[in-house]
Amino acid sequence: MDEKAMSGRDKLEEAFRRYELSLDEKYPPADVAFEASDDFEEFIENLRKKLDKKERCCKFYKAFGKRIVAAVVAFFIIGGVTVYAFREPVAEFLTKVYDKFVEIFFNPDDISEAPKEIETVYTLGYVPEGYELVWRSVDKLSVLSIWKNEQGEVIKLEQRHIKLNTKLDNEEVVFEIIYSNRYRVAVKEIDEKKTFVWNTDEYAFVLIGTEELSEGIFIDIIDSLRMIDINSLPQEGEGGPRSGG
Amino acid sequence: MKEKMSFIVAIMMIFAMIFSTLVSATEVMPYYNNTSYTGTNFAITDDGTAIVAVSCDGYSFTTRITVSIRIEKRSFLFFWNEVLVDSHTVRDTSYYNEFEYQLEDKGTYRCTVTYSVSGSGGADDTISQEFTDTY
Repeated sequence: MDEKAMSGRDKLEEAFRRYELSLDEKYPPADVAFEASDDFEEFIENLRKKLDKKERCCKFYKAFGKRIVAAVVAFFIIGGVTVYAFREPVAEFLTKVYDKFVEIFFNPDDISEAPKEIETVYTLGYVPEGYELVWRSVDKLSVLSIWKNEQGEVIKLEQRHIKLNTKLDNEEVVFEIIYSNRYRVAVKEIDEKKTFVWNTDEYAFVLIGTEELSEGIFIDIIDSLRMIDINSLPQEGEGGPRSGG
Repeated sequence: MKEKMSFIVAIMMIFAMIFSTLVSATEVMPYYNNTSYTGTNFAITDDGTAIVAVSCDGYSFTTRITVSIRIEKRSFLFFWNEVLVDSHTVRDTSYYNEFEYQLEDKGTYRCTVTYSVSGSGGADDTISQEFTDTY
């Protein structure tokens, strides 16, 4: 096609083509020496490192990361549906530690589903040799059970409605949170006695006993907690009034 | 830089969530001279029975425990009218009991339980706990 027949656009394209060819003739690619500055080389190097790192991370995640995440999720799912006896209560007691006393209470949202009154009575499946049950009273918000030995030493178990507010003397005492096989337990130990506080999803428990018994024995006592048939209980407890012991 | 800051903020938020259930009070409270433990429950049943369960455990040198119970009914917003007052005293090292009171009117009630514990450990302990429930 001669130049007269070409449209304006075609002429423009031809002009660019000839210009490009002239540049190649004037500056052959092989003869052009391209020298990068230090800053530019550093920039390229950093970019390359970033890309390498990203690629390594992606490879690791694809190979192992997904399996690890799946294992962790499975662990939590399995942990959430285990047998009740071995699962820690969802409602955990809260503590406010002051200089001289510790307050134990529960988040109202955690205990909103708990029964309003005592519906199931608990007792201890294990007490040390020599102790015998001498008192049990069952009321609407609390159950008190007392075991006593020949030396007059007492083990008291209080089962309380979980909306319980507890205050423990904290002056010059040993106070700590420990874990039995079944429960998270607040422990207070001073001089003559030990006091333990723990809970299930429905009730709070307080165990008070002599400091002569070791913590290990108390842990066994706590873990022996079991339900009893409320209909098999006598109407009135034996022993003395509700004070003392 | 932005990613590092986001990571730091995320870690701080995780730690804040983990430790959110542990509350430390810095205020100084009076300590207990004669009391080892108090435990209190308050609830109002569907038929209007107010139940107060009290428990106080002292030491071998505790000589007297007085439990005072006061129940008030909310009349308007922040105003409370006293409905009943009850008090029980034992001369012993511990006390445990549960009391029932029949309420007449429906509404919101506040129960204040105060333990006064005497002994040779020092001045009397005065320990109060407050609850509210609705009938």
